[in-house]
Amino acid sequence: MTNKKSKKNVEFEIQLSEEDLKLKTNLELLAERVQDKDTEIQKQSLVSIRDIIKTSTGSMTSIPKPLKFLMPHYQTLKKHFENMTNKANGDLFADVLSCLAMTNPDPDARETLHFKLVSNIKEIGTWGHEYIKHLSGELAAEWDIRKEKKEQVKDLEEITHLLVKFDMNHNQEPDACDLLLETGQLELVVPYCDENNYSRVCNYLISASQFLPEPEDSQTLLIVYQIFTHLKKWAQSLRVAIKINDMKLIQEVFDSCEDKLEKKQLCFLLGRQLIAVETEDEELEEIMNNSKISEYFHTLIDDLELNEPRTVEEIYKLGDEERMQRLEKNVDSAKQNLATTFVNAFVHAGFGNDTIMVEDGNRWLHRNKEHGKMSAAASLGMVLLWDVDDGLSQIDKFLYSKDDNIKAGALLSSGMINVGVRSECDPVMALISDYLDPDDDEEEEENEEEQEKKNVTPKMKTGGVIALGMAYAGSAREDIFELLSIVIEDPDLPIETVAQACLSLGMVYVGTGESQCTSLILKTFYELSEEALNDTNIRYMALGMGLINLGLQEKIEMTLEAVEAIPKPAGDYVAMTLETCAYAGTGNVLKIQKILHTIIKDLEREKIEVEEREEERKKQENEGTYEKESEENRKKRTEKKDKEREFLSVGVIGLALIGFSEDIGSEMMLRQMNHLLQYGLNPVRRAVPLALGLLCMSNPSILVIETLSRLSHDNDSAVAHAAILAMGLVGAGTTNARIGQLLRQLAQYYAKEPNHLFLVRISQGLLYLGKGTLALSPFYSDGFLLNRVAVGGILAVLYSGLDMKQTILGSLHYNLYWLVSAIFPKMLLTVDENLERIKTSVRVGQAVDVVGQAGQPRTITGFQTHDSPVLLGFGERAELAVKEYIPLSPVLEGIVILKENKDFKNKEKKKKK
Amino acid sequence: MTTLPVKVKWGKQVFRLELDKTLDVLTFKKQIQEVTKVAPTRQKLLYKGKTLKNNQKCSSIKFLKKNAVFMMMGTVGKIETEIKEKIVFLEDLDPEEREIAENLLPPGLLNLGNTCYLSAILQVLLNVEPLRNAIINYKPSEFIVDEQKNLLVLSLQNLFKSFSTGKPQITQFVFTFRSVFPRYAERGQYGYIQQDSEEALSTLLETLSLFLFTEKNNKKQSVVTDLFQVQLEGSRKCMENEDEEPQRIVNKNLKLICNIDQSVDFLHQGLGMGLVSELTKRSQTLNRDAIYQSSSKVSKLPKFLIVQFLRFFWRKDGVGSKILRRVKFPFELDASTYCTEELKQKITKTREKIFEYRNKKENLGKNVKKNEEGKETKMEIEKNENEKEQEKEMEKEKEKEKETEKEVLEEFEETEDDITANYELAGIVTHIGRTIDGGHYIGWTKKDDKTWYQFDDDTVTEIPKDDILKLSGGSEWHTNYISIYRLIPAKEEATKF
Repeated sequence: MTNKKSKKNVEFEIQLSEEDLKLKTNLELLAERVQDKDTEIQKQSLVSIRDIIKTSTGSMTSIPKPLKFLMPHYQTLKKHFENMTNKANGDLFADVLSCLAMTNPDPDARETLHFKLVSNIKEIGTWGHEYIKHLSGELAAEWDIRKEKKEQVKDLEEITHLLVKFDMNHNQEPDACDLLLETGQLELVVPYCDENNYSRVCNYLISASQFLPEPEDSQTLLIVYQIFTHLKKWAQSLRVAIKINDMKLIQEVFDSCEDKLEKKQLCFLLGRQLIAVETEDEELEEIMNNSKISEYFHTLIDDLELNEPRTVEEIYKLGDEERMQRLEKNVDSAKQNLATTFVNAFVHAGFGNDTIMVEDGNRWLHRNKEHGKMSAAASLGMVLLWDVDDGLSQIDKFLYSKDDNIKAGALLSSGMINVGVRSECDPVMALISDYLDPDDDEEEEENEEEQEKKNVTPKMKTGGVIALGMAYAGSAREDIFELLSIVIEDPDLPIETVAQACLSLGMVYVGTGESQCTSLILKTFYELSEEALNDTNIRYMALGMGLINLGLQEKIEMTLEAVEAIPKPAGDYVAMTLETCAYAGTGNVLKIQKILHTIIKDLEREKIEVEEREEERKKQENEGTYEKESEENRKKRTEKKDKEREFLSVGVIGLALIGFSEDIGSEMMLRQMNHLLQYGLNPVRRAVPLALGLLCMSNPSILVIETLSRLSHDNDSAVAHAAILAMGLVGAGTTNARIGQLLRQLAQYYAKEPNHLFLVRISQGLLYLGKGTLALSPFYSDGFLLNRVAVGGILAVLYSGLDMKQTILGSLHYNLYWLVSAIFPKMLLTVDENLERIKTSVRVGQAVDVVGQAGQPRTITGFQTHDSPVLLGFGERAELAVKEYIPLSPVLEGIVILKENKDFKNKEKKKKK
Repeated sequence: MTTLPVKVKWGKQVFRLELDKTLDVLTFKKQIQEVTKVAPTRQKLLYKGKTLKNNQKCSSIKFLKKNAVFMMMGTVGKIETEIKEKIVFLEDLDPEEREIAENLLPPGLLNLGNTCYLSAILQVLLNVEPLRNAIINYKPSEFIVDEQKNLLVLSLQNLFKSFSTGKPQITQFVFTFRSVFPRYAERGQYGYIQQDSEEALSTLLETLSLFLFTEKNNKKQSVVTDLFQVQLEGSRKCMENEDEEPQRIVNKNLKLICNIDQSVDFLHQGLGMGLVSELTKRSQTLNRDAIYQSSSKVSKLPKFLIVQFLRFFWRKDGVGSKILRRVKFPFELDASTYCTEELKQKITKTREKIFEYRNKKENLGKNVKKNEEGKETKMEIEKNENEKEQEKEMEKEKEKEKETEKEVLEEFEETEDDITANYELAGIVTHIGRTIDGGHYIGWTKKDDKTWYQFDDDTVTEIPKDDILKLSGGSEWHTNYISIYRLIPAKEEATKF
């Protein structure tokens, strides 16, 4: 063996070029001389070694030659260093050894770090980037070990500083961030950030924060926030502050920003999140209150020439024959007319004109039946969305109707008109409080009108509370709480009204965790009769509670315990709602696993039960007492079972809710949903389409469309219903041709099934939401921010979808209007310093993930250039195509103020000269 | 300072008013009424989350300040809350009514076991309006020739009447039909056997011809004859003796026959062949059996022309077999080629008339247009008297033309002799299957210019017109067996375009 080896060695040496051979012998000599007793000689040889290593070049795949030749001598040199008594050249020696230690194959030795610590030389860039990487790695590992042993890390901190400084100065921001994240000293990065590198650092940290456990994620975001404020990037700071959901930070940004124009831009952002910040400035307040949103939206639709109202027949794209048939029929179908009502509302949302309601609403109202009239009257609110001034005077006429349902609808529509818009007059509050607050009128003399008002039916109260929930969503206003609690605590009101009041309360206090709201709903739950606990409306109460605690994570533990006192199965339902809402958008893997586990456990239990029944049957058969279970009984039994398991449906929606905030999470969830479809029990399967809808809101991904299309023909009508509705949600506002075609086919396929057809129509309406100018996605600002109010609105509809027969297909169809909270224009509108619209060319393309990439890479691909205003689809990003303006918002979405670029102007001038 | 400048928003409008703090809200509302015309009772005045009460003092309004913005909701005039027309909802109807409302299709007939041959012809006959009316209005005369057949007509009347209810009852009719004509009550291995629908049609029409009569020119005339009878005139010639004098023959039929052999691809060829036939007959001159050829022409065309495609024949082994050959048939049939010279002349006359009328109408249209164009240009120039006169003349002309148009139309109405010989396809009975006593019959009738109804027993569907052409045979699919063509009256033909 040895013989062979030496032979190989000989061969190896022969292979070396003359030059290398020379280097090798040279280095060997130097290594020899390092061990010399003479310190001068030692020093000289160490310096020569250092220089040789420094000047050598290496690549990722091969070790630099000097290191290779010195590798065999590392151990001897190490030993010599340890035994050396004269430490005159100690620092230099240790430094060289630190570099040579990179060749040590034992990763646990961490000798690079060890010798660096021994050496006092503070220069770390000597050995190049590979060395820095190596050192960072060992540092992080050592840090962990020492932390575990609770040893001091002071010496390590010093090196960390050096490393971060080096990384930051050499365009290696991600490396610095990684090191600091691993050692938990992220705050160190702040002083090193400047104009050139802050965006790379922040981008990296923001996307890293999505994968960090609580509470590190928000701590990381806080550092990002500090970087932005440090560099006075107010708009960006505000985005992060909103993401962290800390009002103090938001106020801080708002107060620190001094530039008026920039402040205006901040207000647009705040308005989008429905946050009110205290300010004296009326102009700023107006922007924050979204007062002008209707105007801006109309600018967009005028520019896109979409103003002409459409008939539902155009939306359904009926052929001539079908259209004739519809006209020929002298009999109205209340169900189909109701569908028409909704479709018309969705298609013309915010447009202020349509073909049936605005001109002569009264005629159309009476073509709806009973509870249908409520939705019909309310639909006017959606058409007039955001237009507070004009809208309210238009619904006024319905308030004088003799029909309860119409009045209830009119009240509801008043709320819808005010969605997201705050007005100084507070008209919704003024209007609704008259109907809800009984004490208010006592001193009044009773004239005719007042008497009529006294006669407020539960239906009207229902309309009223929903209006409050929509108009004041996210405001957390005390007076709204008081008004709603009057309704919630009224024992004479039906569960339907109470439940809607709870849901409204959830919308108003969404994500606040306000304990008095949670306890109010809890108390109501405790007091409910058994019958009421089995009512379908319970879902809205549970959701109301969930919304209050939206995103609160472990802070809900106490509430969860209190929920256990609610009798099952309602208790399970509430608990599941609460838990999934609390972790909404967190991507918390533990919670996901827990829910999946519950689903599996139930599946196993069912298997055992089936086996037991089978055994029982066999036994009875043997004894001759077996009686075949009647079909009716069987149906009843399975229905009861399904009811008991309904909380699993909530769990499935919850899975989507937890995982929908970032791409990888949603992708994993989509896969998980396919598994659930295959083995899930009825309640699980029924919720899967809705969960898919939530994951791909207004994002028509082909894979999901195909799955939903398949499910829309499912034997279980509940699954088919859910799938049809989900297709509408997935395509909401996209006018996606594929979904359009599928829905038209479904309309023919289900022509004789009024319920299926109704949902197909609703989905068609959603698909053409705002004629393609609006979207339902709760994410905005490049998918970075989550609008909690929008989540609430969407969840209200999804929860309704879990019991379609009694809600949307029954008399509770007005719940579809909750979607209004999620509706927002998917536009980019550019305005100048006076907030007047300006046309400028922008590039719109697919967003590219540039996190961690060096330099300034393009953020969009496959772009087209348009004149603003433009529509931005899902996953699309815009950038300015001209240099004459500087946008004041980091993300070009919604309304963006453009500032003139003075440098550019000056340059132009110079050119002319 | 008791007054305060405030703004009142009403819709998109903003009014600047002076609010007197010492007065109550009602007074302020009256002030608003002056500018908006909205009655105070109709006004809702909203301020800072509160609706203001009428008797409230303005000074008690919370957060009142200078330039405060009030919002007023209110509508001018009376508010209509009810509508006059009554809306019928599908969901409120009985299941039966609902079915009718949901599918506007005419009702089908239940199959009682191989009764499709009857259902198919009944549906097609029902579509012959004059016949249907005659049946529905039938009143038995005092002298009844045949009690049983009378009952059959009455049961048919009942059946036709029951169509309007949406649930026609065919049972009674089938029962009577079978008892009157026992050969249709024949039973096979699996119950009643399938019958030839053409035979059934002939039987039915013959029966009806004995009972249904109309008064025409004070003459009693059989409805069936009036509607369906084809009169053929021709001669029979002995093929083996040239000298024999051809015999004149007159035939009265209720149908025309389309013969099918290898040379026939189109209906008109088959019809032509049907008019020429050969037969063996004892010849007086030769004193032996000889072959005679008779050829005839149509001397009177019916209002509804029944065409039978002679598809069934008895094979030597006694099995009724079917010719599947494809024979194309048109939606519009010109029957003039089969007519006698005499009739042809009449037809040509009518057609000329129609042509003339159309031309006239076209010119009329042009003239009117021209006149109008002329007028417009003249409007611009100053009119002199001459022009005015011209205009008057033109107007006169116009009137004249209108009068002539009327006259012509009336003329069409008056004369019954005007016959166009243009027929349009109104109904079809098709057969699917290879044998007479097997297969299935379906009736098809025209709904409008684009769609047809398909009556497959009790299932009725609408089909596009073009699908009818697929029934021409040549495959295992449904094959045209009996067609009913409707004569297009001269007036209709004239005003068609």
